[in-house]
Amino acid sequence: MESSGDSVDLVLVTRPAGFGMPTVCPACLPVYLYLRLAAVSFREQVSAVEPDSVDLPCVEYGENVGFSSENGGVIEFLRKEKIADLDADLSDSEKAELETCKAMMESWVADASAFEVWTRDNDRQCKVVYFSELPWGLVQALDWKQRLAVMQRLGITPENTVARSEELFRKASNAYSALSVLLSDRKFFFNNRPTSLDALVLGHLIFHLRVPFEISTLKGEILKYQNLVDYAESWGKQLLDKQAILANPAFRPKAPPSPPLRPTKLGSNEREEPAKKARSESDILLKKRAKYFLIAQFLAVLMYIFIAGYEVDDEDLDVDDD
Amino acid sequence: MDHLTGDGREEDDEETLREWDMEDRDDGAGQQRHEEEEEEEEVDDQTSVNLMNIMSEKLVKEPVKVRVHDIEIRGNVKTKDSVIEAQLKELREVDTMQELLQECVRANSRLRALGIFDKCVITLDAGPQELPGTANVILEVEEVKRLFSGDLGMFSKPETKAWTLEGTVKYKNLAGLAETLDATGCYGLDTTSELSAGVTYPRFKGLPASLATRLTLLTQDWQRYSSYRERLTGFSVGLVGDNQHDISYNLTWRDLKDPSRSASKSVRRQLGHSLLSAVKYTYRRDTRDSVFRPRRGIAFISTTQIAGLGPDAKLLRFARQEVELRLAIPLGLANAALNLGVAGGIILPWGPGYKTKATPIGDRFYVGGHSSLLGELKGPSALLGFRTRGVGPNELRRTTASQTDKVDSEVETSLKRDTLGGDLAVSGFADISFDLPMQFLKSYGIHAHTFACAGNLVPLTGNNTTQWSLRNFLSGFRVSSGAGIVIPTKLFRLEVNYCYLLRYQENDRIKRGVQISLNSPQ
Repeated sequence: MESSGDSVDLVLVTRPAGFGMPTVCPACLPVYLYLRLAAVSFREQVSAVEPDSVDLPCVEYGENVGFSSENGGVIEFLRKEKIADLDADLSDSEKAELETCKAMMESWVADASAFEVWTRDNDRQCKVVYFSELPWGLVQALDWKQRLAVMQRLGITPENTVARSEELFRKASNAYSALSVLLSDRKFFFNNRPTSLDALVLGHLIFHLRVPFEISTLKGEILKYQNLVDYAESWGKQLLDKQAILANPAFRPKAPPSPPLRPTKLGSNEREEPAKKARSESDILLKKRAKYFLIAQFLAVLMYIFIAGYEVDDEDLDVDDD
Repeated sequence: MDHLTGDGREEDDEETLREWDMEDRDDGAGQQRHEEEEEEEEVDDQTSVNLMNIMSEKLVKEPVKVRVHDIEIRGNVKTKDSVIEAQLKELREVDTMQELLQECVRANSRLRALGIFDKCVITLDAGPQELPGTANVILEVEEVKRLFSGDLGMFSKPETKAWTLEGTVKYKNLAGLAETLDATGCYGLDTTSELSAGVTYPRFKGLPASLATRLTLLTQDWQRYSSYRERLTGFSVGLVGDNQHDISYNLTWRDLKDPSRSASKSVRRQLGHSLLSAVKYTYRRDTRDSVFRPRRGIAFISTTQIAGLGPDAKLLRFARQEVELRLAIPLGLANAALNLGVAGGIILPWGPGYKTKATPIGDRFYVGGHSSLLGELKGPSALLGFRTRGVGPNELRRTTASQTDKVDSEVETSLKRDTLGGDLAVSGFADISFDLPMQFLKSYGIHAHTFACAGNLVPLTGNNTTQWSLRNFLSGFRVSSGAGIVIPTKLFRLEVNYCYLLRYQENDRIKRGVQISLNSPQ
C-alpha cells in the first residue's frame, strides 16, 4: 500500500484499488496521478466505507488535511502547502487555456462519466468502485441512494434518459475532440511538461479504458482518437506500474518537504500560556473573590441549617419538658 | 389465611389471596343464591362459612390434591383468548390447592401488568361432579376503555449537559394480542434526535418471555467531544427473560460523519458506513436496599456483546464485555454506609486482521462526566472531577483556517483534542454517606457523602497503540476525591459536590471545584 518509506509525511486517502489500478475511483485517480507526475512520494490510505463522501480524495500533510470538497480541492491544497505545483511555470495564456480545459473536463466530461458509472447496466463495476468493502444490505441501500442522487444531479428521469444521455455523450465527444487537437502528438498538453490538466485527463481516460464496463459509450468515443489512447496507455503504464516509476528518473518519487510545525502541534502550547498569563493577571483577583464569595455563601447556608436545626431540637425538648 | 403466606410469600400476595378468598366465598355464596330459595339464605351462608373454615384448616395441615379441569375466560371483547391463556398456562400444571392459589396470585399480577384490563378477577369453582378433585378457573376481565396514552416532557442528560424534548404516544391492544405500539420522538438542541417506533408483545406465542421489537432512527452529535456525528438506523428484538437476564439482538446501520471537517486522524479513519449485527446479554442482580441511598446489599451487572453475527465478513466484528460490582456496607453510626464499586470493560475486534483493526469509536469506553458514583449500573463511566469524555486517549484535531485566526480561549484549547475512548477501562470508587445532624434534613433524606474515585482507560488496538503494560496502566490512573451533599427526590438524585483532583494527565478535560449532578437512579 505504501509507495515509499514510513517516514513520508504525505498521505493520500482514496477509495480502494481495482482493475489493476491503485485506486479505481474516478475522482481519486487524477490526484494519484498528479502526485506521481509531480514525483512526490506519498503513502496511500484506503477509505472503503464512504461511498457517499464528497471529501474523498483527501491529502493528509502532518496535522493538516486537504479535502477535495474544500478550498479548491486537493491540488490547490498541494500548491498552497508548497508540496507540488505542476502549473507554476505556465504563462498567463497557457493558464487560461488550462483552466478552460479543466472546466470542460470537470463539467461535460465528468457528467458523462458519472452517468456511465451509475447507469444500471454497469452495476457490477460500479459496486467494485464504490462498495467493495461494505456489507450486504448497506451496498443495496447506498447504491440506490447514490444512484438516485447522481441521476437527480444530472437531471435524468426515466422519461428523458435516452435524450439526456445522448446529450451528455455528445458533449463528452466534443471535449475529446478538442483535447485530441490540443494534445496533437506531444507527450503532454503544455510545453512537454506535466500539468494538472494532464493528471485530470489521464485519470479520466485510464479509468474508462481500463474498467471493463458492460456498456461503455465513452470508451468507444475515446478509441476514436488514437493519440488520446496512446497518451493514456503510455502514461498509464509509466505512472501506475511501480517498477516503471522507479526506472524512470523523471518520476522517481522524492520526499515532500516536511510539514511545518503547526500551531496546533507545538505552537498551541506556546501560545496558550502567554494568553493565559495575560488573562490571569486581570482575572485572578476576580476569580479568587468569586471563590471566597461562593464559599462564604455555602458556609452561611450551612450555618443557617445548623442553627435552624438546633432551634427545632430545643423547641422539641421544651415541649417534652412541659 | 395468614398461615398460607407463612412459606415466604410477600405481604402483597397475602392481601390478594385474602381478597380472592373473599371473592371465592362471595362467588360460591352467589351461585348458591341462584340455585337455592331465598328463605334458606342465612343457613346457606352459615354453611359456606363453615365449609371455608374447614377448607382453610385443611389447607394448612396438608396438601389438598386438585387439578384444573377447565379455564373459562369472560369479558374479553378485543383481547384474544390465546393471549390470556398464555398468562394462565401455569395454572394447568398445578397439583395441589396451595399451588393453585399461589399461581392464581401470580397470573393475576401478570394480567394486570399487561395494562389492558381495568378489572381482573379470578374465581375458583368446583369441577364437574363426575370428576372429583378438579377445579374450574373462571377469569373475569374488563378491558381498558382508553387505549391511547401519551407523554411529553423535557429531560436533562447531565452526561452531555443537554436538554431534550421527548414525546411518546402509546396504543395498546390494537390487534387484541395485548401488544403495545409506541412511537417516541426525542429532540435535543444540536445534540440528539431520535425517532423510534416499537411493538412489545407480552409472552409471544410459545416463547417463555415477552418480545419487544423496536425500530430506531437516532442521530447523536459527539462533535463537541470527538468531532463526529452518528446516525443510527436500527432494528432490535429484545427477549426479556426476567429481572435478571436480558438478551437482545440488534441490527444497526451506522453512519459516522464529520460535518465540521475538524476531526483528528483517528476519528477520520472511523468515518463512513458500517453495519452492526450483535447480540447482547445482560445479567443484573441488585439486592441493595435502596437505589438512591444504598446502605446494605450487593449489586452486580455483566453485559456481554458479540458483534459480527452473520456470514458477511464485512460486518463490524468485536466482542465487548463490561462488569460492575457494587457493595453497600452499613457502618452503624449516623445512618452511615460505605459504598464500594469497581467496574471494568474491555472491547476487542475479532476476525482476520484483528491485531491492527481499530475498534468502533462509538462502542469504546469513555470515562468522566458529572454522573453520580451511585447512579446507574453501566460499567466504567463515572469519574468525578473530569468532564464528559474527558479522560483517556485523545488526539489533536485538524486546524481549520477559521480556528487559527481566532484568539485562543480556555474553552477552545480544551476542545482542540478529540477524545478517542479506550478499549480497556477500569474504574473504582469508595463513598461514605452519612446523615447530617439536623432533623429537618433527615426528614427530607438529605445527607452528606465523601468519596474517592479512580479510573483509567487505554487503547489496545489500532495503529497508534503504544506497548501495553500493567505497570503503565496502573501508573496512568486518574484519582479524585471530594465531598458533597445529596438531595434525593422522587425522580432524581441531586448531588452538589466539591471535587479535588489528586492525579490527572496533561490532556484530560478536568473540572475542579463545585459540581452539580443530576441522576436518575436506574
